Amino acid sequence: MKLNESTFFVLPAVIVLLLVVVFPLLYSVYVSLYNYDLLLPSPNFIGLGNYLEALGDSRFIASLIRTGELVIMCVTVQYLLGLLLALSLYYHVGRFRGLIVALLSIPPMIPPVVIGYMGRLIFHPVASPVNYLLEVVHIPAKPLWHTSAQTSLLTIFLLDTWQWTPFMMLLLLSGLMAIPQEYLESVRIDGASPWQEVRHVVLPLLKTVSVVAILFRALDILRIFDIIYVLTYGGPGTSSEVVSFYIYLTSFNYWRIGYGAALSWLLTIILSLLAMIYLKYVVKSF
Amino acid sequence: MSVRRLLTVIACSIIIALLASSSFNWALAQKPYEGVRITVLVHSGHQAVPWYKYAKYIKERYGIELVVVEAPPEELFTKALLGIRSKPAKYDIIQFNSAFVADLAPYLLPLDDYIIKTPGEGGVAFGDILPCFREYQDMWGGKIYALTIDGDIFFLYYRADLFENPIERKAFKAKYGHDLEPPKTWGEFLEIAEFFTRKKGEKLCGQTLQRDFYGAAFQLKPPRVFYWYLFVYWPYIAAATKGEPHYFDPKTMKPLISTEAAIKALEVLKKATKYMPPGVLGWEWDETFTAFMKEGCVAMTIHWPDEGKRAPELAPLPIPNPPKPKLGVTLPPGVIGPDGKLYRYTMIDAAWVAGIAKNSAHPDAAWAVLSFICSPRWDLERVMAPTDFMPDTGHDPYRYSHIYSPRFLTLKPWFKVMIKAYEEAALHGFPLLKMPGAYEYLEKLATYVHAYLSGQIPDAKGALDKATAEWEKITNRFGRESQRRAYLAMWGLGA
Repeated sequence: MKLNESTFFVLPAVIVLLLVVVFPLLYSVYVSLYNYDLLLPSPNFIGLGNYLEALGDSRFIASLIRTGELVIMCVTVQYLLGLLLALSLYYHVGRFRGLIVALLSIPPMIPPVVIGYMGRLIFHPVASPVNYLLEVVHIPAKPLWHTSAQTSLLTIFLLDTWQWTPFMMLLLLSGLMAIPQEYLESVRIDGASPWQEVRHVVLPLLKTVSVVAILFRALDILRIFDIIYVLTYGGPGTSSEVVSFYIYLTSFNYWRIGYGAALSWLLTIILSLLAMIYLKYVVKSF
Repeated sequence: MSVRRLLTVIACSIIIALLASSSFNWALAQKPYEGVRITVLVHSGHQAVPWYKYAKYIKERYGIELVVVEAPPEELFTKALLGIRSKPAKYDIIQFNSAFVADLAPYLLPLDDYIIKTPGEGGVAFGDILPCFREYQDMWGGKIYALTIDGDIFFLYYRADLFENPIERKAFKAKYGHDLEPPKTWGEFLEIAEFFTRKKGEKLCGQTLQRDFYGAAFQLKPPRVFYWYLFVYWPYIAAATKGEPHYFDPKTMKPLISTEAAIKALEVLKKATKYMPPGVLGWEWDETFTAFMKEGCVAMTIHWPDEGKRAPELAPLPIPNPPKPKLGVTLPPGVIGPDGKLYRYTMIDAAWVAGIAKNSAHPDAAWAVLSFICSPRWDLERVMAPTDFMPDTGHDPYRYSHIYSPRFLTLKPWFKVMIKAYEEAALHGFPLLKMPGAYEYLEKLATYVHAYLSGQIPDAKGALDKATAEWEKITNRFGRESQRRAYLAMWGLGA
């Protein structure tokens, strides 16, 4: 390789990247091979011991499954609702589109901690406005929402969907706006119905944006933490304990830094595999 | 100049020099640490207020520049541990939760000698601190590693206006066959909680209730739920063993949290939740305080001293013509053992204490600061807050001189209701676990207790068996023998 002027210009950025990104990653691999525990005197090399322990950790496995459930629920519903909203805004709302988009952009801008505290008020089992609305429409059920093991994950799903559906809508709307008008005009001239237009022209052209939107949201939900910390602390019991929260508990409440790093790497490996499968098979068949 | 005159000038010079030097020494004695900088790591927010407030007095008295570093409670332990391990220590003084003393002790300076060497006004009057705080917050392995700065302890609060109502007393006696009194046992607690749980529209004190009313409310959101389990667990374990309660068998370090008595305790707690507001499993401090104090819709609760400190805020009962609100305070209930003895405990919360880093570059100056902050004169100001002098600190009383202070009781006369409860609590206080991994043990206990209370795990034994298995794993990870020694150290039996 020939060193020239440009190398020196790139070098500072590369060094920063190595220090800020690559070093912590490699260090976390190193740490994951030790029983590095802040409360124990000195860490010992244990090889893959942490990884093997994780594979037998029923709480970790359960939190992974729960996270998967949450990702599937959130991404599916948020994508469908976001698409519906984006199509409605694209086809039916003309003058007020800007205003509606601005209003719908508010929830994603609210910090998740605030959403968690709002959730405590909105889903308060005694003074819940949601339960009041259920009563108004004569639905007798009074769910205990985040304070019940049966509905805690559902409550988190509802809050996340409220917050992030507009984000999905924005991405899809931007994709819609980018579709050349000529395509739509030509299918209309050919006599396509609105449904056929959406099915055969709009959705295929939204493919790239959809892939990005779904991937973004899925990765984001995998990191969900603040709402759970504020609203349920993983409970009742472990009913809303997702994998990111369990890793937090392990690393920063039990101080098992090595084991926490191993859990994080296992999660990364699983995610990478799933992302590969998603991109290779799901996206291709779209 | 004559010889005589010369001698006079020399003598005067010597006298002046001596005077100047002694006044210089006097000035030095007044500010013995002039120019020294002491860094203190404290809980952010209101707990940091007194450190800032006292910084100028410390500067005036000792010449010490106090640097206050704040950290949120969830980061405090990590920062403290890493900060005092370094040489010299990054922080001279750290505020920490006394549950972590076992992990911090190797890096903390034992304060025994300082306390002995500093009697009188400059000292901390260690014997004045209530015994429960002295023994369970400040000491570990027989040595003093910290000084209490927040006297967190628990009481059972009840609506005395309700308990004294003749209609209710008569109805209670008719139903249960004995007088309505503050509960001494968990059995009585369940009876009273059941008795007072009523729906809106039913009668309370002979009048129509304007909202649902509940027998009790606890703060049952994880991870703190374990506190309220332990209130029931301790007396049941003690009654079963006819001795002091334990978390482990001190000989084998086998957990006692899934014994028959422990299972019974968990079942009692679950039964009590039947008489609590819906959603109580997600309640934190604010919901509990609001329901009991602000909404007046709960008959009993077990909580920190805040309710007692704020007794005038007690809301009237939710009926059209309520009696004047009146707060009652006593110890949490206990259990009568087969020996006929009442086993009763309250919790000495593993609350905030402060210690000095062993690696501090200026340990004597650090002691000067700590002993100033924790001297009876100045810590009274902290625990009386909020006052005109001191904004809210979140610190609760922890000395005899606090609870009997004429100034305190003049300023907050309603606090008199707490004195007897404090006296009893000083004798019946029981500590949280204080050994390596303490938080992990208790958090895992909380997880499975909560799983049972919420119905995620259907039986108490199943839940506690799982918690026991987790406790065994933790003990094995730290080493059974070293944990056994640490557990004994918690009781002052050598570190």
